Amino acid sequence: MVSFMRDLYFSGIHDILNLINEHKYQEARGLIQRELQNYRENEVRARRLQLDAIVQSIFQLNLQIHFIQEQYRNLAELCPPDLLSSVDEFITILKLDKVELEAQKKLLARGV
Amino acid sequence: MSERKQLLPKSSSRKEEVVYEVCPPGIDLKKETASTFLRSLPKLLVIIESVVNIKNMQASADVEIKIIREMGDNLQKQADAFVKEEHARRESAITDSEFIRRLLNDLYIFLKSTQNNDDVQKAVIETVNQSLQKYLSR
Repeated sequence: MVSFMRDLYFSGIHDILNLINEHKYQEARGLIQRELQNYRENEVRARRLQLDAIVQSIFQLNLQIHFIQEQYRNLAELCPPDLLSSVDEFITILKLDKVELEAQKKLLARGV
Repeated sequence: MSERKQLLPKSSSRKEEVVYEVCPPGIDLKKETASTFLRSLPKLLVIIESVVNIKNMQASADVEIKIIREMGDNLQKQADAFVKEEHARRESAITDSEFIRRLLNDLYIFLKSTQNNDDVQKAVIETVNQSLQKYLSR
C-alpha cells in the first residue's frame, strides 16, 4: 500500500515536471521565434538603408554625368574633342561607377 | 430527554484508546529509510533528469536568443558603416566632378573670349587636359 502511494506520488511529480518542461519549451520557442522575427525586420531595415544610400549615389552620379557631358558638348564646339581625352576618361569612370552601383543595388534587392 | 439519557446503560464495550508508535516495534527505522530511499532512487533520478533538462533547455534558449540579437546588432552596424562609407564616397565624387566642371567652365569662357588665337588656345587646352589627367590619376 505504502509502495503504491509512493509510486503514485513520484509519477505525479514526474507528470508535473513534464508539464513544466513542455510549457517552458513552448515559452522558449515563442521567445526564439519573436527574436527571429526581430532579426528579419532588422535585416530588412538594414538592407533598405543600404539601398537608399546606393540609390542616392546613383542619382548623384547621373547628375554629375549629365553636367560634365553638357560641358563637354559645349567645349566640343570650340575645340577638337580628342584634345579633351581626360574629360572622356572621367565620364567613362563615372559611368563605370554607376554600373557598379546598379549591380550592387540589384544584388542587395535580391537579398544576396 | 434528560430522563432518557439517565436511563441508558453505560457502554461496557467501550474501546480503550490505543496509541501506535511511528515505528512499530521490531523494525529498524534506519534500515527501513535506506531501503525506501534505494527503492525510490530510479524515480528520483528520473525527476532530477527532468529538472536538469528544463534548466538546460532554458540555458540553450537564452544562448540562442543572445546569438540572434548579436547577429541583428552586427547587421545594423554593418549597414550604418556602409551608409557612412557610401556617403563619404559620394561627397568625394561630388568634389571631384565639381572641380572638373569648374575647370571646364573656365576653359569654355576662355575659348569663347579668345577665338582667333589658335596657338594659345591649343596650349591652354593641352595644359587643362594634362592637369585633368594628373588629377584623375592621383
